[in-house]
Amino acid sequence: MSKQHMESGIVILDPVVREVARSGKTAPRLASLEGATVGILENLKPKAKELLTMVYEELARRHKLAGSVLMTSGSSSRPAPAAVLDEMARKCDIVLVGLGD
Amino acid sequence: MPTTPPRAERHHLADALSAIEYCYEQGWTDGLPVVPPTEDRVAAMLDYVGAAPAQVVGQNLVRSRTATAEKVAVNAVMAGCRVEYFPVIIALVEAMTDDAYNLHGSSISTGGSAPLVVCNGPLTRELGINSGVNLFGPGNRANATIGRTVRLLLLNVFGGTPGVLDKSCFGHPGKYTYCIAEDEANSPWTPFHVERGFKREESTVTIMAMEGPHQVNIAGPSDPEVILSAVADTMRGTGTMLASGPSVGEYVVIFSPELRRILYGKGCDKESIRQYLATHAGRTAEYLKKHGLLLGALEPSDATRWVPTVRSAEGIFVLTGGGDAGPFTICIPPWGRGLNSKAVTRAVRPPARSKA
Repeated sequence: MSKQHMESGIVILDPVVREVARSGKTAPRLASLEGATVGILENLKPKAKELLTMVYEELARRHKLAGSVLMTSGSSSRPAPAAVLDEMARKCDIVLVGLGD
Repeated sequence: MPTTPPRAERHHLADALSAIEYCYEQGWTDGLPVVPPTEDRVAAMLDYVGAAPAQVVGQNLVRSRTATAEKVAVNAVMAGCRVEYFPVIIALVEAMTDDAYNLHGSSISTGGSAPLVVCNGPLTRELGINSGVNLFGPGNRANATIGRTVRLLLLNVFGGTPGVLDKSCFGHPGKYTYCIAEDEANSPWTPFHVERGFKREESTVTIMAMEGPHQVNIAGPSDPEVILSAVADTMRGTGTMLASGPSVGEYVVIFSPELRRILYGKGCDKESIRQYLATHAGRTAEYLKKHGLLLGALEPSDATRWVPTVRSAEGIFVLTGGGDAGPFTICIPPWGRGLNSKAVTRAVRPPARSKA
């Protein structure tokens, strides 16, 4: 320990890296599901597609939907590819996501 | 990156013990005390490799975090590393931020894997990284602190707070530290890093997301087929995540000196061992389906349809290590059948001020 530290205490460096604030904003929320196209983004986990499809069917029972678009994110442990997200953004009004197992 | 990463914030404390307590209070530790990362200790790490504090060593885009040399050094100091270990740490950060390793997925999964670090090459002997007795146990500073640095980096630099992002159901003790060297000096077989395309005189680190080590006792048999069949039987264990259908690897098997002498004496090398294990470790589709490890309705042909534990021999890493006495093998299954994380090997660059 240096003489300065002995006299005035100890200085340590912060080990943490904070998440960089991301640019971008979320899409506006839908006022209604009537006529909406619903995306189903499944992640290849067992029963993920079945679970999300059940949610879609329940929504379809309650609302007059335009239809669904089913796509896969390709992996349950990695972000969905940008091309998949772009296509979903183009074709869908809302997207259902969730894990399986 | 649009801007230069900011320098580490400074914290003023009364003394070293206060600093240790402060680190606890901030949630910066793995539960054990850390060495206070003072400016002079951090500077010594950076000087040793000739790195500027803001130099980017690795990034994880999923978590929007950048590991600068300074932040890496701070965590290495906290873990108790000597400055001579820092070139190894730098190579490790490069490896763990390689997209193939999938730092994010492998460190949040309920499956609870830990990053296993395997060191190879002459630097491992120079630094005294243990490859022998009590290989996964305590007592060696290099193994303990290099492996611990990986954990502190996951906590502090990459935001892997247990219970927040890290959702391991159980985890395992390797999540504190999980670093070994291969016993190249006492092995007639080709070193692991040479098999992965590096020169024998190069020093490397390999990182892989792995379950905990399981010791297999094979006392008595001297027939290689009997020895290896015991290993294959362990590899296909129902309880491992690896059992859920054919894995793409990467399964680690470590042979002790006693077993190596028997196997080598009977003409076995790493490749023939891999081939045997790839062929003999497996289950029938019927067994896997009955245990919920393979999806789909049971079909008559499933009774005889063989599903290998590891899809090909290349997915089995045969390593050497362990104490001289003991007919033991270590089996370590990969996280999640090796589907979403691959072992990554990086060369360790010599320090800026080489002793040459």
